[in-house]
Amino acid sequence: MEDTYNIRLSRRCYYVCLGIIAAAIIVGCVLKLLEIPITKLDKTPCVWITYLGVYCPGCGGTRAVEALMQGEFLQSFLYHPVVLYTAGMMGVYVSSHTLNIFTGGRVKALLFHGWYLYLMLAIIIVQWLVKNVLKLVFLIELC
Amino acid sequence: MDGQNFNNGYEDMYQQNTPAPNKASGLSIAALVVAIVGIVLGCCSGLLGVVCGIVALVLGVVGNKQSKTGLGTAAIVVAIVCIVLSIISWIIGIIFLANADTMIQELESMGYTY
Repeated sequence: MEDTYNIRLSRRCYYVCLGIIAAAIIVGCVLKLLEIPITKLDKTPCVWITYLGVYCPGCGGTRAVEALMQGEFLQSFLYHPVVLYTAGMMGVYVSSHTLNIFTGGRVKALLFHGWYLYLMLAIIIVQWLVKNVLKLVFLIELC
Repeated sequence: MDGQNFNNGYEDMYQQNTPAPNKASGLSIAALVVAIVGIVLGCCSGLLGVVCGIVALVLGVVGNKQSKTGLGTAAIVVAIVCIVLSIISWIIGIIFLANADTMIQELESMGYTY
């Protein structure tokens, strides 16, 4: 019973991932057609870094997405590692389910596990702490 | 016999769509995803963060009622943190607007160009 539930839940997560990827592709195409760089969408600098002098948990996210779209994986990781993690994890997850469907079940689809999200949360917290310690203690700015 | 068959079919369908005890429900997963998105976006846009935080909180509470799991509880905690961080960003943003002229000069001296 639990296996059936997990498989159905994992497949529903797959459909949601497909929807997110489709939305991202549409947004990317619109930005490309209008020749708008993604970093120009919001010109407001982060109020945390401007006023408090510390990075917020999302600092570097937009630049990480842009770097990833240009194929600069290391730069994307340095800006915000959760973007690379999410893209990689989602890519593997969606590929496994797509292959599972097209091969009639010969390729095993990844099941959803809670640790996917716990790891994402851990990455956000750790990168936030590391960036701020590097900036405040060692005066090194990663982004 | 027909009644028995109907019951079995209904139970199968119910079991396939209902989380077993201690199994993550779809709502809990959605709650944690929305809360994480809110934490990342909330610092840039306080309003977006508060909206994501409230949505995640509601989804987390409902998800935990369906099946109490670590994911649901984590979603509630992250949603509360998200709301708090977003409100802080909001307050800073209001101060930013109140001192807009001074801030624009400061930002220009920091190298930001508009």
